[in-house]
Amino acid sequence: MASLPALPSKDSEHRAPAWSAVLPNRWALLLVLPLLAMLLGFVVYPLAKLMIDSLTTGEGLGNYAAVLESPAGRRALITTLLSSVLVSAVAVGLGGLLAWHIKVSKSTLVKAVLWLAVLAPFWMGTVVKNYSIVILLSSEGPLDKGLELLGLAPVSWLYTSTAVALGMVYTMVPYAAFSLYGVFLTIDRSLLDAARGLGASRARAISSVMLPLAMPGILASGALVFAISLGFYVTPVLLGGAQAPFMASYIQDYIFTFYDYPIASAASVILLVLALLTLGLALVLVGRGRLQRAAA
Amino acid sequence: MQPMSWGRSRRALGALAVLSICVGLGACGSSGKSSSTLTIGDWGAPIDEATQKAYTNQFDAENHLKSQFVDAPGVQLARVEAQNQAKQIQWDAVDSLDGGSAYTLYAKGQLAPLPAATKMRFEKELGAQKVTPFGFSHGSLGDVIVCNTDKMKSCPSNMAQFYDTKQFPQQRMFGGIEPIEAVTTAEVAAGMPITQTATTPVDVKAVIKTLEGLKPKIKVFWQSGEQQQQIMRSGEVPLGIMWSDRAYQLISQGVKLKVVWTGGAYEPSYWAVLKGAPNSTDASKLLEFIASHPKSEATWAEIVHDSVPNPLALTYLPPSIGSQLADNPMNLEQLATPNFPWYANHSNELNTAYENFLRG
Repeated sequence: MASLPALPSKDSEHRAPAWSAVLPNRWALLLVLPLLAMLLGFVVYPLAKLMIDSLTTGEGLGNYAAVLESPAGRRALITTLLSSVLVSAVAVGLGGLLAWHIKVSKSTLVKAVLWLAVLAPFWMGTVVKNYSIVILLSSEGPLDKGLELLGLAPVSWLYTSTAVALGMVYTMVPYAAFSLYGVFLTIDRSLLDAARGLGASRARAISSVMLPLAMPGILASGALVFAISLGFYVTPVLLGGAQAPFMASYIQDYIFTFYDYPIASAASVILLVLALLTLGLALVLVGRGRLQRAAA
Repeated sequence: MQPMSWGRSRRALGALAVLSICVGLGACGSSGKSSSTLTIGDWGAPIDEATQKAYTNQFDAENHLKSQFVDAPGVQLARVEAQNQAKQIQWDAVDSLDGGSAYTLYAKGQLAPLPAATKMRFEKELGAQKVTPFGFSHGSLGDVIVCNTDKMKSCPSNMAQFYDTKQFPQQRMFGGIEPIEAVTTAEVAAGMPITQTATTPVDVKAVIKTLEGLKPKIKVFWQSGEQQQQIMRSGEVPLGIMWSDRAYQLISQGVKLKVVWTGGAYEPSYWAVLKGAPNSTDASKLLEFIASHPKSEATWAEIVHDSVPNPLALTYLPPSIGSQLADNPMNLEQLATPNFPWYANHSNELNTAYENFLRG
């Protein structure tokens, strides 16, 4: 009887190394180098130059004083900050509701409609999106006609801060919904059922179980929406008119209309610092550990 | 004859290669840009299309050139300043550059002065009032009062009435850009004769005070021609200041507007050659071509509905269009010309004051 060939022992031959998804450090570094180079060239360098220019051209530190002392600069800064805070709160609230219902709904139709609502603003250009709101809010638009049919006096919506806030919220809700949907997916719904089973009310279950779990994501989403809202330009101009005091319009005027780069640089740095401070604050509020867990 | 050494033959080959490259590029000894190209800083459609159709198609064919347009609507000043700052002038000429920007750039030495002989020729062809030390007016319009006759029983008949918020309490629209034209309307409303606005220094505090009186009745400050039209078309306000060409376009689309020229601001624009332009010779030739072709100017005006400089152009235009142009004597005599030379030296002061009035 022929004997079976002996199985090769572990030590008796060279085996190919097992496949691993983790790249050796040197290869990972090599792959990420082009990205780092682009980051340095197109983000770090221009931002550093912007900061240096804001301090070395024109009046130097006086550029900052000029922005903060001018009524237009101060008002633009305050309006931009307040609007961005308001828009972030509303967009995260609405986006959160949409995202949660997409997660929990069992109806495919409802899910499809909700996804459509979230995605639709992404399919439109900025100008088209804002003009659709202009049509909706104009004095002879459908909203005023509806009020007229109800026997109510028409409201002058367009070219007000309400119109600007509405336009910004419409643009930002999808960003909030997307980021929060990812967060909600990680929450085990049975935890809410367990809380209810243990006697918690619906509101208590949400506030004690769901919100603490989702809070890092909610704050991160709010910070993202806030940072984007700080730079809005088209929406304030189209829905609020040239008089809408927003930092982006202020900066645009100083670059393209007045060609005053030092003032525009200083205003840009102020806006950038505010955005970074907000992100830093969000990091502190969420807590490093929770953020690391959320990212893991 | 001695055979060529390797060193010499290598140098000869090198020289041949450089020569071939030079011949191929046709660029040796030049600044690197082909002299057969003319670059024009423009407004985008419909102005660049009109310029192409009325002027550069024929001019290019006659001079074996290729004109190319760079769209910079409303930001020509910034683009020219940026080219100067970078010490790399890329444009040769500017098409219908607004008055405020043109005078500012000239004051900064960024527009080429017209040679004396050319200036005299232009003055003879176009009339002295159309010619400046750096070019000639082209594409001029008026900042006029417009009133929606469907919504208002009576309309202001001059600028003082437009500023009278008791007699006309309706909401208005007003310019959010071009401060010098905006403050000129305020000067006229405050009683300055239209013959004096072009030469009287602007009293910034006084005009801002006049504007502050009007501000509670300004619902929206526009930022572009499209926005002016959208606001009046939608009936958002029944009254406003608007560019004359945009107003007549709306009327042709069926919007019932009354246009009032009395006390409006004259808004001239200019063709000019940039100082240090890579192809200034052909750019100057183009200016001479435009000035001496009234029929082509009429073609341009018929497309854009803005003024052209040669008085003869009016004879080629249908009266319905000629009557809408700011340079038509019957309109021009009702308009106040802003003090552009003053603005060129005080733009920072006025711009900051207007910015604070607008958004402060």
